[in-house]
Amino acid sequence: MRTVLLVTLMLVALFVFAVDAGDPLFVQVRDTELRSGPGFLSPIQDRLGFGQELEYVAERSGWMQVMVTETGVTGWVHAAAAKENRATQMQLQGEQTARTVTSREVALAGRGFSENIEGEYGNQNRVDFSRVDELETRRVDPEEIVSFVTEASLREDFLKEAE
Amino acid sequence: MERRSAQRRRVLALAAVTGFLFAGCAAIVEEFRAFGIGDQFVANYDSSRMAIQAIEADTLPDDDEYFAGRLAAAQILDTYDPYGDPEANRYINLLGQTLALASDRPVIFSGYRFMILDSDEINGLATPGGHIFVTRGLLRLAENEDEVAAILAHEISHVAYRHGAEAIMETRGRNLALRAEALNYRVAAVGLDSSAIGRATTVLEERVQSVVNRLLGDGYSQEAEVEADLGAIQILLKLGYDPHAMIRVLERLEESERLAGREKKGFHKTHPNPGRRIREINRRLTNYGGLTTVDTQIASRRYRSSLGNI
Repeated sequence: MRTVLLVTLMLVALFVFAVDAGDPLFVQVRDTELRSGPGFLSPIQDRLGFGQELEYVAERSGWMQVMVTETGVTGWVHAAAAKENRATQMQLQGEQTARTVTSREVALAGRGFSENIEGEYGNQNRVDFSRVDELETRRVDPEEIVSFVTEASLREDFLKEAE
Repeated sequence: MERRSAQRRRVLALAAVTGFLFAGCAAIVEEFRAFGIGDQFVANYDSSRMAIQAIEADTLPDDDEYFAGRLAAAQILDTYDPYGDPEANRYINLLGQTLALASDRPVIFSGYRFMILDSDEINGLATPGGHIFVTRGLLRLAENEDEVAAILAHEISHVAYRHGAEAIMETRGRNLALRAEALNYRVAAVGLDSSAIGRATTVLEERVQSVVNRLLGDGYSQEAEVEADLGAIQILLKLGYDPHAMIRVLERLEESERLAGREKKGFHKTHPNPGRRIREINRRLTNYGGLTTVDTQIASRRYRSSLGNI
């Protein structure tokens, strides 16, 4: 029984920890910061946008050390902000032959696509996005969060760099 | 002898697991066929791993969650008016975004955003895109910062645990057809096939409807509510707030439900049975040592100046 468990775990591990040094990643959130350390308060080195290409260097409790392919700058991003960029052979609609597409390409296309669809849907159903757009401007600076936390003696561990 | 049988068991186990994985893929392809869609995946079975993996992962991509969430948010803001008080809204965002950073999912496609709705109804709504709405009526159930934190942390946990995406995926059985369709459109978009947009709009419409129905209609399942409560407690503990704040809010919810009588509207309809939820939280907090760090004087000062007149 223990063997079965071990083999299963090893197989699961193969799927889960498949990212190796040098593997390509791409940013999969609208925008994120490249920081000098693995924490939300570490100094910002660069701002990254959706679809930007990165190379995996290392991982530390929920953070990934990456190199920005375009600039060669190395820093840290939250692990949820970037995803592995796999290449897959796919037959595309309207094309006779299969060609290699990357998950970045599909995601990028999907995004432009979603924006188009949103416009189409919005026109059909007369949806007004102005209030949602206003809501999405409500950003809070990390500095404000720090003073909000420290002022009332809340625990700060979640803001510290991962060890 | 023993070693050989152990080895054989290992080989058998490996074969079993591999067989299981392949059987999984084959079953998906069969289901594709049953729905009569996704022909290009079926035709290129061996080269469609990416699509199959995405479907097997059983989640929507972050940007899909976001766009469905934006449309759901637009519908919510068509039903309710925002509460204009800038100080109250600023406080909710400061507190909410702090709590979100301490959650299990601090990073989402476009971040967490909070808005107060100008309604006496007791209601809290979270879209899969991270748009979180709380009515003035719901905020009135809270009497201090810990309790407002409990309300917001509960809504954040719905997003963090992808309950909205689950609602989307449950719409048509396990909704494989819908997800396969959506992936088809993405693939079509790589080939820049513009004819797919019309049908993709239908897919989006269905997705938004399932989120909106869940949020404004039946509400999440009791399991999802309990999960969001426990997620909220974890966030409160991480920040040094009093986790019992969640129970106090639920007790007041129960009381307001009793006063409202039989008619179940808004939050009472979407958040049923607070009593059971309270029992689950108490069970989780059995060994809690009572270690809060929050400076109640400062917290209550800022709570009163921002939400005192809510």
